[in-house]
Amino acid sequence: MGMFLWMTIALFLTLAVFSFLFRDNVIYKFAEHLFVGTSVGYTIFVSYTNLFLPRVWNPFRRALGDGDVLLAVWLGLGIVVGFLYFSRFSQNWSWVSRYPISITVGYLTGYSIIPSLKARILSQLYGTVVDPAGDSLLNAEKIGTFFKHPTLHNFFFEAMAGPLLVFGVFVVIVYFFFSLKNNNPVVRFSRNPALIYLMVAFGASFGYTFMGRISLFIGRMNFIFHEWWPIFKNMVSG
Amino acid sequence: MMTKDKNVWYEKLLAIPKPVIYIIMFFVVALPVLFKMQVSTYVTDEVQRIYDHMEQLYQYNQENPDNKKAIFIAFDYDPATMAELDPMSFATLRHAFLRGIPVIAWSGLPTGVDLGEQDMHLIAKDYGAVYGKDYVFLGYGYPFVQAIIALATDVKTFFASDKAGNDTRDLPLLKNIYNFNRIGLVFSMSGTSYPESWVTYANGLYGKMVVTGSTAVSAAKYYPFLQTNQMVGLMGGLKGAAEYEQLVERLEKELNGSDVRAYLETLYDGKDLSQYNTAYYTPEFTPEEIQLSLARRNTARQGMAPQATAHFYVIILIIIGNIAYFARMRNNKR
Amino acid sequence: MKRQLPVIITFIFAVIGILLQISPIMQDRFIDPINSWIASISSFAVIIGLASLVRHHATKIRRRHKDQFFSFVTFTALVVMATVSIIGYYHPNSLWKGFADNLYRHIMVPLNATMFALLAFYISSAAYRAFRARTWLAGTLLVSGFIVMLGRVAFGPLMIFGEVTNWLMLIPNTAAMRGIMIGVGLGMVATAIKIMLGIERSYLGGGE
Repeated sequence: MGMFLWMTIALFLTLAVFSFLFRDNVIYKFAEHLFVGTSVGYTIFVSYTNLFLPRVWNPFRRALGDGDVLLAVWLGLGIVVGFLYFSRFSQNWSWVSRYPISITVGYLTGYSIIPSLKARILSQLYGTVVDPAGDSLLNAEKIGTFFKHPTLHNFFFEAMAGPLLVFGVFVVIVYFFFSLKNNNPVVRFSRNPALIYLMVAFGASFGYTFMGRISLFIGRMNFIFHEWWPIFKNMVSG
Repeated sequence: MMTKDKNVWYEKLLAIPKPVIYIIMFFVVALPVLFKMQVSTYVTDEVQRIYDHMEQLYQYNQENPDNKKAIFIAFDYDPATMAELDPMSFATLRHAFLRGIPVIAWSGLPTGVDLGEQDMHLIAKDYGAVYGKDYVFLGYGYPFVQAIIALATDVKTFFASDKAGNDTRDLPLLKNIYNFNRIGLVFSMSGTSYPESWVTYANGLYGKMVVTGSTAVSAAKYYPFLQTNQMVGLMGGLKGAAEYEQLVERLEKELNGSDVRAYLETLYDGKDLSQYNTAYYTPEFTPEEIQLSLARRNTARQGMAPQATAHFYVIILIIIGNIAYFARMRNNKR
Repeated sequence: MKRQLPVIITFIFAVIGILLQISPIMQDRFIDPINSWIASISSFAVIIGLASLVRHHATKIRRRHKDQFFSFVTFTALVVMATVSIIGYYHPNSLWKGFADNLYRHIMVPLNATMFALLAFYISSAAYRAFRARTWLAGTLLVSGFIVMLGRVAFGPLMIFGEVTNWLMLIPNTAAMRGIMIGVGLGMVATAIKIMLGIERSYLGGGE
């Protein structure tokens, strides 16, 4: 019975939000504000139990408990610096909050330079030259495979896959790098092929985006018809 | 200026009110869900690779029982995207618990912390997994970069306590497995750009194999990482979840038999129930819980039929819209 | 003091961040303490965001704004959710924990999920009204979208779309996304270096 009541509340709130599709109304507004309130309240709970306690308070207490005075002082200093964030609420002293901001921004920025360079640029450029098996993408052997077994699959997935990938990356990079109007033949020639690649990719993204949005609605229908309804049916039938 | 003749067929088509489109969309999705229509789904290479890597991890654990490796799951999503990502998480957890692979997890979003925790307990209950020994949920993995750095050295320094408030030094699983050395696969389930960050740090700096479960909206942009093996597998949207669900169901039938209801009803018979802390889950099933557990095994695959009908509907809508538009343009030119 | 010193601090900690990756000695000895230290400072940033939000709604109630009833709803929901959850945390086997779990599962989750489920309707309406193949490029985009939409739900006779979709995602999509990613990556690294060297200071906010 308890589960049925809670699930009926969930059903009511689901329908309250869906009512917005017809027009804005009081029930929707109520649901919307309830959503904001519960989200913020929950975030306060998570910030206290999963952020402040394990990251700030418990390590400090653990260092004191273990007798590690140096670590305790170091962590205590961190807590003091963290409290400087609260100066944002003062008109005259808000500049003090720049200190903890500059520490965190500086550290994260410095730490991210090498990994970002490696993951987003170097590995990607490498992957455009060599596939994970170590073979070159511009591979005459694969073109040979197609001539030995001339099928559509071998043509698109073996023979032309590497050259099309390399060509595509090249023209798209040229398109973005030289975005101002340019008479250079390489830039001019790259424009239309780059746009084709981009439109195909954006079309694929659109297809996936639509799939994603529908899935969220399917999730709600699943809840109503496969979670709430069977429990309601069981309750009514006995 | 041309005045529009509103009785012409293309003007009528272009003026279809939004509520009509919404209502048809509702029926197009709701009817397949209501009648539990199913369509078969094909498995893509991206998802098959995830399954194969998990099986390799299981083989490794069989050969090295004293040096087992775990999987790490980052539940980097919140209820907004759970319709797509929960089925993937469930399938991954099922696979891990079926094969006795330990699981360590955290959540990267504050509003998703309880979701991740509840998901783990729900699936653990289906396999009698014990919290602290077979799986651990650490809590909120923030700040992200520092959390990953801690996972490279000793995650217990970052998580002094887990989500439930237990001292992490007291958890049996974390005594041996507490950093990347003993983690075989990293799963990032996310609707945001967290998987890119996992690739940048976990794979880029520490060479870990990263698997991504992403919403369909983000899936297309991860293919470059797949091609370079920076990601070893990708479950994109509900389709990806359906594929992995299918593979895991086959495995479950092989290991536990095809009558899942009977398996669940007798799961805790004869077991030492004192090892299960009821703060996480009660080691027995009510009829409603069995019903929900059975439904959960099929969520993504059942979603493919309404997905298909919705796709057909929108394609037809776009084609009709374009036909009417071009008819209007041609008429205006005359 | 107000702007110069923070910029210098940013540079110092950026250098520390770089050194922690490239120097094995620094990694072994200093990574855990520095990591924990920065983590504890960063945790306060979340708390500030929450405090601002709570202050905003409290002000609306105090000033008797015309929507103050809804601000009351927000505030009450906030207090109840936070209180019940924290009590449940300290008494995990009690009714409070069950109540907190139910509030999360049956109030927050359906609201959050349904807000985003509305997008399914908006996208179908937008698709009907706005997606026009006015140029050959727009037509290419639409055809590619159709192929992917059919391909990802393909079964039986539609499997050809599945094969074509696989190829589309692995080749042209990968090429285009990679080109974009390399451009974005270069921008990110350039911005990071600009922040480190003090050329970019927008993160410090306005004022003196």
